[in-house]
Amino acid sequence: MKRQEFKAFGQIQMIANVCIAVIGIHIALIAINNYILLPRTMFCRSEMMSRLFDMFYVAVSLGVLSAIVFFIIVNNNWLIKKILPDEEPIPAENQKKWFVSSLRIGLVLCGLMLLAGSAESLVYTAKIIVGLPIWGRKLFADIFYDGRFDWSQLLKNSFNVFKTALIAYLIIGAPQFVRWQTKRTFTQGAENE
Amino acid sequence: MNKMHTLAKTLITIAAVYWLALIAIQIVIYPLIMVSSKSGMSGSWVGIFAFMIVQIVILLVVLQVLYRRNKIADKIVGIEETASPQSQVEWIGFSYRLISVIAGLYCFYRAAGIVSTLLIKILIKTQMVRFGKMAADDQMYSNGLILVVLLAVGVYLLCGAPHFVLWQVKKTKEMFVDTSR
Repeated sequence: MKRQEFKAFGQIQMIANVCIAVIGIHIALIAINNYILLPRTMFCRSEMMSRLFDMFYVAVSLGVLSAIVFFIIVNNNWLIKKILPDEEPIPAENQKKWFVSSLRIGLVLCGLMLLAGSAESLVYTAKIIVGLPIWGRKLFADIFYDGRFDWSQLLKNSFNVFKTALIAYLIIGAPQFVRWQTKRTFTQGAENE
Repeated sequence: MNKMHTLAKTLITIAAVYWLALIAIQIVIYPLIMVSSKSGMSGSWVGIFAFMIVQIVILLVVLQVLYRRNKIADKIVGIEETASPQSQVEWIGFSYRLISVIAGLYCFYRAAGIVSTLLIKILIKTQMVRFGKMAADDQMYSNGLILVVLLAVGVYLLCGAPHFVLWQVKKTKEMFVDTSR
């Protein structure tokens, strides 16, 4: 017999679901930011140690990031089950509407807060786009003539561009994510019934 | 006053009081940092004066939001929507307007923070001109630009972001149709 899976179909449960997903997005961004900002070379004296530490750090960061995305943003019903285990579900005809609107509103709020909190990312991205030809030429010269590559700068720039793209996507309401999440939640719900 | 009014008023009050307190702390702390720096006192006094003016303007905007919370809550809830508060769909426009106002307040709080950073950078630059004038200028232009973006977005959001809210409501309703298939 298939085990009954918990689904958050109560009003407050859905709001909690959205709040947890928004917090998850914030934690994921903090995790990525910390990975980029940590000066790893200060811990290691030799180059070999530095590379080993780097590999270890990349593996740990990716692990943490995957765990956050999987357990807090995408599959957070286990947490809601612990917080609000038995709330009265809302009428079936309104469940989908409530789920879609609360998730979308939550993600838009997250985007607006990120916009205010990381307005500098927006300005730096604009600067990167404007200065892309010069930056590309410098990168080419660095790799082919000097034989060195500034990874930290590339990571910082990529993070700024990624953050700006994420903010824009959240502000427009993350339509694909909401659609996918709604489909997943309600298909699984129907299968379990 | 219905449930929407109460919710809007409560959330606006909480957000405004929270950011008001943080701005007030900034107004006390940053001038102290500037005064405590030993050299360039004449520059510091001009900096503190400019800082205080900008911070007080931002503080007044947040205070206005706090005092006019009833009117703002009325505008957020809207007239047609109060006619039948039972429907779930009516909450959408209200929620988008509410989050816009809260995000607008956050923009103003962040703008106040950027002003502080900008003035401290100006102070440092006046004291340490010999260490890379160009880099300091570049940073200051960036901060100035961020300040302008934050203030522009903050004003639009505090006004309830009418176009944005209408567009979001339309898209959300389209999504209801999409997902119900």
